[in-house]
Amino acid sequence: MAAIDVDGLSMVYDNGFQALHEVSVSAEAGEFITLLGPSGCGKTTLLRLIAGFLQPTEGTIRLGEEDITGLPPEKRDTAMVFQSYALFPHMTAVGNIQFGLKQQRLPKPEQLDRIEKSLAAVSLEDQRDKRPVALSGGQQQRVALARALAMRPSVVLFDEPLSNLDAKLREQVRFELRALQREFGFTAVYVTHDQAEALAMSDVVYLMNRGRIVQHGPPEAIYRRPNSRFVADFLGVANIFEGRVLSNSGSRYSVSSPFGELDVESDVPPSAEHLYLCWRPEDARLTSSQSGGQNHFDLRVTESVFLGNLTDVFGHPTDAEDTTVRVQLLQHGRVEPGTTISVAIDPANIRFLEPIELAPVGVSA
Amino acid sequence: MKPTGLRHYAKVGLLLLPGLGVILGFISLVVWFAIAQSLGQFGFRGEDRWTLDFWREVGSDETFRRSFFYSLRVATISAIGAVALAFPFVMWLRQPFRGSQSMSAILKVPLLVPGLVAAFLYVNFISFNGFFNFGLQRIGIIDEPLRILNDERGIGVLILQVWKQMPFALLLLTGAVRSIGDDVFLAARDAGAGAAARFVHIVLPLTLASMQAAMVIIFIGAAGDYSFQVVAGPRAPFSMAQYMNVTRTTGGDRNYAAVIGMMLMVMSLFGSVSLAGLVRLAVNRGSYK
Amino acid sequence: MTAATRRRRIARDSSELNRRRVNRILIGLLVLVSLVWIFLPIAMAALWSLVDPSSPWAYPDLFPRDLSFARWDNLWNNTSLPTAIGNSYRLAPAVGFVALALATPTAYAFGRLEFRGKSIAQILSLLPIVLPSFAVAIFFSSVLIRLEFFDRYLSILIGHVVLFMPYAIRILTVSYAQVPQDLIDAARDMNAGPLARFRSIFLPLTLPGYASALIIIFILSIEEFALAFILGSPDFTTIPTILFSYLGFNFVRSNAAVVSLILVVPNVVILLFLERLLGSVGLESGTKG
Repeated sequence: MAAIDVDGLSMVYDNGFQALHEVSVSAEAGEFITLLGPSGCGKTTLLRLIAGFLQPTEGTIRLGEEDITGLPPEKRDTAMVFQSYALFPHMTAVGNIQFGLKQQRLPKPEQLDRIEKSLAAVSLEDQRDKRPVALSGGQQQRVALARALAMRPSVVLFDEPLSNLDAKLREQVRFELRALQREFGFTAVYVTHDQAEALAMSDVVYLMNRGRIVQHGPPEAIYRRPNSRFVADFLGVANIFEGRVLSNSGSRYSVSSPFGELDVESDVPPSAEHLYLCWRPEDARLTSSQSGGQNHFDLRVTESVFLGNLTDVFGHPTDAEDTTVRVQLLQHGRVEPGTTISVAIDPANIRFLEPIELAPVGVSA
Repeated sequence: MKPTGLRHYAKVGLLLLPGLGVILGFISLVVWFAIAQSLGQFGFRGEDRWTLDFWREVGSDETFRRSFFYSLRVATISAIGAVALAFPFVMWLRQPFRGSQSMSAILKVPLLVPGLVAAFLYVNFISFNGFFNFGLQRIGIIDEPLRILNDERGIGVLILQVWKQMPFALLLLTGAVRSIGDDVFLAARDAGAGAAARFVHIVLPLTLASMQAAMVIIFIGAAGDYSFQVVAGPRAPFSMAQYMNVTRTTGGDRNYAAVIGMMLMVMSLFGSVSLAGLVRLAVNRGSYK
Repeated sequence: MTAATRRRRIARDSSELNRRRVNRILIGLLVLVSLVWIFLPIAMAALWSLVDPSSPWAYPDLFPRDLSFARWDNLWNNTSLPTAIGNSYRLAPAVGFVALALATPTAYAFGRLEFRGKSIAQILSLLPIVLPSFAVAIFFSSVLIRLEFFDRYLSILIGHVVLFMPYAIRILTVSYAQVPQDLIDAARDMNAGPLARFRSIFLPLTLPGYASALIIIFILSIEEFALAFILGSPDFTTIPTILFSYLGFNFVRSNAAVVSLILVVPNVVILLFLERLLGSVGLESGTKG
């Protein structure tokens, strides 16, 4: 078990493409961190740099106290679980697990002991002598996991390990992974583009976009307090709109918006006068239309979808026809299109995002 | 799912007739003639009879013994040599880099040079007043041109075989190595395997089938070689094909030639299969299962 | 940038540079080797074919004193070379088309139908490749004598068709297997009968396979020596048998050079064609992100 500390890592490929821009990431020993982002955001590059398959253009990678930046992968105390599993097709499950132990020249009894423990950890004792082709996708995934665990690495690197499993299995393996991590105590760096996976598993989520970390923090924190439109939109669903800060008293701000004048409660001050704001569809409360109080507005419904546990409602504010709003009502029936509903948002549930950048004159998109 | 109806099999049979049927018909006819001829039939000298005399002759024929082992040696060395020479290139060109495609194109040129032309190029290069001697004389290593054409050990034939067959091995092995996923190599590195361990435990076992295929084809080609041997090989011993032809034409003895031909086929079959088996044994012994 | 980072950067750059430098050195080495190994011999052949008969080329001249097309002229006008070229080029396309036609039903069965013993049938279809062709040629000539069949053109044609059909079957099997079943089902769904399905789906999708099989067989047939030599000699010559006659025991260097170059012509055409294909793929290295 060791902390991992990535500092100012940049990566430029031979063809000139810059995949990472001075990225810094750190995980405490035994922590589970996730690199989350759309494809091409650099998360896999970052993982491969930590594994040692790539060499960074700039920056350092530390494992515990040791600078491992220049070490080849075979000398690093990390083990990777590949998206494709990368099982050796000509070896049995046991052969795959044993491969790395043989490379380390561990004494035979120790090898056998570790094989048994790893197989037991992923409940694959019955499949030990099968080759990868004879195993199901889920079983292959477990062999890949067991192979990494048997190395007793300080850090396990996961490259979208669940993306080839079906939805049900994926949910199950999520819990098992967390349990294994607690049992074996390794530090985990987990790459995924699936926000639900990231939120469900991680201690800390690093959200990446275009080779940069755009926000990081515990899952609740970045879900509740996104700092940009990208984060708000990538993690869950958000109503994003433009606003202008009119006044404030303490942490209470008054903002003009397409929904009329809104009160916003925020301990983070707005980054500019003109800026983006957002709120989550599930934070809207239905109110009686007469009240007309704080942060209330009327919504003309254009479409609604009943999803069982909630109802997804799309519409626009009655005095802003070109703004589309999405509201998720819990334990509510269908809402007929054409009707008007009245909703309210708690000031504490509205977030300031980044400033609106006015396009320079003479430059068109 | 395998349909079993009679109609289905009638259809399959009809479809196979012009292709596989013709091949099998031709080969059976040829092999039947080979057997019959070696047993005294179809001598075209008037007095055919069934006899084992020609097979007995082989046992005491010193020329036969020498050419049998000569061809066996040439075939084995060519097969192993071509594959061994191809492997470093395969590994070097596994991952693309600037110029790697041109490199692999250059390496494959001999594939497009007909065998006889290759033989001519070699002879032209190596002969008494060829470029090789010319170059050595120019540099001052030798005063008189060397007579190295038709060397006694058959080095010329081996050079030609390897020259011609290495690209073929390269082609087969490249395909096999490419089909090993990059992730598998990375996983092996991640598990602590260095370049040598990756080659022995990952590359060799996973390319075994292609390696065997390449060796079998090269072995059979080299065992039955006639033209390289006649052009660049030693005056003695004969290669099997050469001895067979000499026996047939100069000796006029088709029956004994048939025995040599049969032995050549047997050597091709068993030699190549044993070589493939030995390679499998060696690879499996060396690598983890 | 901290000092440590800067050190890292320098270290990385130098290891990167090292890798590139090693590759460049290897490329340079290979170019040098292939120069001696491949291109020098070919250039020598070209030069030798142009040596004027009046002044021989011998040590210590680096280049021949007089160059002329006299050898080409002489071979063209005074030997059976034109006939041989005619024979070869009459033979090869015919072999190609007949082999493809005969291979088609078998390839279809291998590629698209399931039946018991398919893998054995597929292995059997490779028999002509694994039998030593020189021995096969001699036995086949006995068969022909026995059958009193003396048309040399047809004999060689039959031999070549059988010898090269495995390549056609192999390539076409892959082509037929790769036609997606969905397309055929869709065509059936739109009421296309067997003939319409063949014409509108199989034919266009397998055409590349047919083209490459035809090219390969064409080249193999042009180059083939054993059958042409055994079945054709002495009166039916092809380009390889002519070349052989200038190589063996009476080595006529300049003539051999001329015939070698003629024999290599179709291959060079193919090579240029391949180069263009490679060029369209691009030579720059790819990086995965």
